[in-house]
Amino acid sequence: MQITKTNLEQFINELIKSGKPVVAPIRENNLSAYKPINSFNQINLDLPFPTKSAKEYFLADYEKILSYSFGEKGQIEMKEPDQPKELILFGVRPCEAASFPIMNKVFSWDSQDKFYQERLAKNLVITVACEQSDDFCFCTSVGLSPQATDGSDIFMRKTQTGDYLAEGITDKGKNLIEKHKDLFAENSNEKPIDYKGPEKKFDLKKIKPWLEKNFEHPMWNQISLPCIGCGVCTFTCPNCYCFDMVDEATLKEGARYKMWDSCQFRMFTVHASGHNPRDNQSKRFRQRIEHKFNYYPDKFDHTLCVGCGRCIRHCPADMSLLETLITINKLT
Amino acid sequence: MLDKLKQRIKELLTNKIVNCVIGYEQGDNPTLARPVYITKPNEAERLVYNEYCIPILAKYILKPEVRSLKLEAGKIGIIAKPSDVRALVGLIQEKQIIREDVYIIAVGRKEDFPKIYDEIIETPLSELDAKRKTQDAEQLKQIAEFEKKTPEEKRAFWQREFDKCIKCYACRQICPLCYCRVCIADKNQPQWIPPMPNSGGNFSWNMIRAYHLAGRCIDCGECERACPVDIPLMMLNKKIQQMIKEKFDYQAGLDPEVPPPLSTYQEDDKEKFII
Ligand code: SF4
Ligand code: SF4
Ligand code: SF4
Ligand code: SF4
Repeated sequence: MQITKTNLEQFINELIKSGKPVVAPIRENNLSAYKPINSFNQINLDLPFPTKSAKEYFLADYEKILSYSFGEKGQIEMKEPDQPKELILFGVRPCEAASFPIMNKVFSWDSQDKFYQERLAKNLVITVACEQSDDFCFCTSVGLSPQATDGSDIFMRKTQTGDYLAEGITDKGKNLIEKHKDLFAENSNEKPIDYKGPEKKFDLKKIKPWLEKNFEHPMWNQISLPCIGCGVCTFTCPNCYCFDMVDEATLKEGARYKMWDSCQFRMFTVHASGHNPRDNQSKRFRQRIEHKFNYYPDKFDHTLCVGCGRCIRHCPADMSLLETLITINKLT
Repeated sequence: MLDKLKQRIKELLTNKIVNCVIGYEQGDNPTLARPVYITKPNEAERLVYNEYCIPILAKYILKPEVRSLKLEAGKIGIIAKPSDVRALVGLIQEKQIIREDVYIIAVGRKEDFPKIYDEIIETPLSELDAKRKTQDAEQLKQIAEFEKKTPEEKRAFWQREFDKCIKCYACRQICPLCYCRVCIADKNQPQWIPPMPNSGGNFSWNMIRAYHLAGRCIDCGECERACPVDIPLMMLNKKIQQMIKEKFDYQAGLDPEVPPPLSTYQEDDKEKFII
């Protein structure tokens, strides 16, 4: 289906009016972020991408997962956590959209993470194909592209004249287009801007076999020296899913919270005995690469990276996942 | 200048005056040079020195991996900007490093450095240092503007800024004076600071970080640069610097012989609880 720029504006504004929060990339000062919007005009689809990915709308940066209080006679009264709201996400990048089903593999494996699953079921993702990328993007090296529709409910491509071609990918997406069909027209002959994305930068097939064999390779020490062990790479990554839990309680009531955690922190693996199996930053850096390109594919048959480049773009010490993978390619 | 620097590093390594040198190389990011360790004279060719040599190298001297490079007798060389030398002064004062263990190769204008370096490669005011000076002036202006606000407005300002915090601790990890083996934010028996990035947790974390650097922050600006969500942390740090200057006539990181006011005492202190 085809939609003009004016109708797209009306479409988004109608969605906002319908009461469901609409989340889209906006610019606040110089910071680009996915935020709930009040009007189409706030949206900014230009580079740079939002620093934080859209992950937080699927895996909340923190949330209350249960709470309780003690009644008059000391009996425990449990309270269910708040239900996540239905959201519409507009202007998500194809790489990020692809990360939602990838992460769902771990959240619907041995134990079912109803928080993630519910959000995945409720959220509606409207992806817009990229027209440009920057030096850090490498979607094409991990099997994706600016035209990849994985994880999208509706996929939009801009045409040469500034209209958009919209494709309903899932039933959820098709139904939404159907509901607003007066704003859409049949596709004319207009071609979408067919941006091929960044050039391929490494051969993914060679990465896993090398990682399997080279856990103790001296490269890990050499390459990880600049890393300062912060949470920037893992927290901005759309695919990193690690979380921690903490209880906050008084004598009368309490709650349990779940929040993002990062394997780059020293505390991540400290045992109760004080022993720490990942006792230096080089081991922690190795974990990030091994998990994404070896362990996760082992278990879930998919790389835990969509090539968005955030971990490189925002690293305060210029550590580069991409350069690591290219180095691995050279070593094989 | 770069040739001279490379040449000097080669000599220092060849003559075994240092066992390793911390400097910068060009990595993937065109606007940020990457910290690098050079241990062999011919590796000095990798070094770069330009306006993108930003990450504070004094931080790296504390890394266990680097300390193990020191080997028995040799020193660790460090290619130092003014902020690196100020950080080293702080680390010497606080007994985190021994002066004799480091060999400081200052690069810049003499007048911008505390006089503790081993040698200096003099250059005109670098673009990086000039940029820092403009930033400084802007931050001071921001503070002056901020002080005109009502208490409610001030609170709202920081509430809005701290709400952006994602608890990635990049501000702490990059800070050369944040060297505690177990940070207060990581103490979890009991949990002093709520670990979730909610209003309470973010407010406590950001205020405690700033307080723990009171009289110690050497004004390098690295926490603010590392922060992925652009929280103006230097406004807090600089305000505290101003207060320390006013109350104690002290600026951190200038002279290792001057005792830092908040970690020292005098018998005639007017506060009775001190001793
Ligand atoms: S790779 Fe960069 S962002 Fe990640 S922990 Fe290391 S310094 Fe921080
Ligand atoms: S590992 Fe890096 S490039 Fe890959 S998805 Fe995560 S942030 Fe993006
Ligand atoms: S890379 Fe680290 S933080 Fe990310 S999912 Fe893997 S273990 Fe978790
Ligand atoms: S660097 Fe910024 S976002 Fe990260 S913990 Fe510090 S203040 Fe928060």
